[in-house]
Amino acid sequence: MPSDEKIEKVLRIVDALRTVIGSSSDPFNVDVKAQIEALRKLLPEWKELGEILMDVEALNLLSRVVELQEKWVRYQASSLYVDPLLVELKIIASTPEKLAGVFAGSWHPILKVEQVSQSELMRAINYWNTLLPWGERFREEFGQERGLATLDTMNLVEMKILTEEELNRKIEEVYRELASMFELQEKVDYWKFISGKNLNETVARAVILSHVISSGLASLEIKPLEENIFIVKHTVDKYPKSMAIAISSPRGEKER
Amino acid sequence: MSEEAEVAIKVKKVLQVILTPKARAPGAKGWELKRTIGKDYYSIIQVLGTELDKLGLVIKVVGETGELSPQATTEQLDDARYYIIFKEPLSTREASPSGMSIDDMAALAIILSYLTSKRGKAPAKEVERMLKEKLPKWKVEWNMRRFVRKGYLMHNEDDTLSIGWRSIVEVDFKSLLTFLLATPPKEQETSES
Repeated sequence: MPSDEKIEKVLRIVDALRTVIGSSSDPFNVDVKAQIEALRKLLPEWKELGEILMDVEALNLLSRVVELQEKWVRYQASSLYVDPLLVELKIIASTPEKLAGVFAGSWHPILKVEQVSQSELMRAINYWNTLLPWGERFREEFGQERGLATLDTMNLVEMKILTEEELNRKIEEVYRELASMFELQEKVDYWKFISGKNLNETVARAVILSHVISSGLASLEIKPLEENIFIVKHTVDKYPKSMAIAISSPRGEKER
Repeated sequence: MSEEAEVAIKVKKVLQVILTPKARAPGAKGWELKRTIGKDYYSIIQVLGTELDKLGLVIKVVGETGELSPQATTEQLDDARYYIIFKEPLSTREASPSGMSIDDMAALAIILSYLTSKRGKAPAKEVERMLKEKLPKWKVEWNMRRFVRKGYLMHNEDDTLSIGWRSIVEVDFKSLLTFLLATPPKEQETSES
């Protein structure tokens, strides 16, 4: 027999034994004598340490199966042994009311007291008395709570994060890019257009595009059913309207 | 103080320790009782048992392998947990106010008898399949989670279910199987009525 085949044979034995040990199936399904005989025949062939350890593992599992067989015999001889199939049939044939009666007839609930002791009550009172009001409780950890605020472009310019020249240059750049696309197609996919290398760039392009649109140089066409947003040259609507588009994390092509 | 009065105080103390609500499980450990009333706690337990018997209650001593016999060693008794349970089982009507609905009790009867027939352990999916024979699907999962939380069942890492500590304390498995096997099938019930 080739070496690989022998190793595979032992591995099969190990697997089969592990399955029996791990489940609640009958351990007498394992022919212990035949398995020991098979391992005995293969033993002189093993030379490598790994092979010998595999043989030891198989033998160890076999001894555990023998232990399970002993327990199985003890259990079958005990008064609690009932054929699982019979139990299953009885369950199927009974009504929930009858089954509830079966449980109630063998149920002896635990007695316990559900009452707060005097010492527990004193501990609770002390805790309550030392507890800070809700508003003051996390002030030290989180500082004063502040409401949400908005930073518009003017604020950014004032804070010197963005200069007016830079903003104008970026708007022009984006508009030129958009105008070149309008030469080839009537409308441009919004998500594809604003998509940048990362989330920051995407958001920056979306903000600049909003300036282009607010200036009346382009408009948006929203198809709610198809969930599509297009940038178009001219608006169909007579009156301008404001809309919010949420952009969070990158998700494929569409970044929302 | 007379010996009788001393015993009476110890009996009250033991009762208090066993009944006091605990964070993890009801009852009290043997070593806990030993620490409270001394080495002779088991003889005090026996005195308490006699008193409780008059009230229809009984002390159940549960070790790692299940209920302990009076012949258990001192070490086993120290490690065991002591519970006070009802001596006689309740009727379905009496059991209902405890928060157990008919469906809950039926579910426990199915699970525990099935697990007992499988030597105390079976794959969770097999148990679910059995329950679905009698209960709506949503209630099966909800009930199983609740029974595990209450200690009636134990969910093992290999996705099997086994009998939980509370079932070992509260359920008389021999009666459970006897009653189940003695239950007449539905057809027979209807023909009799």
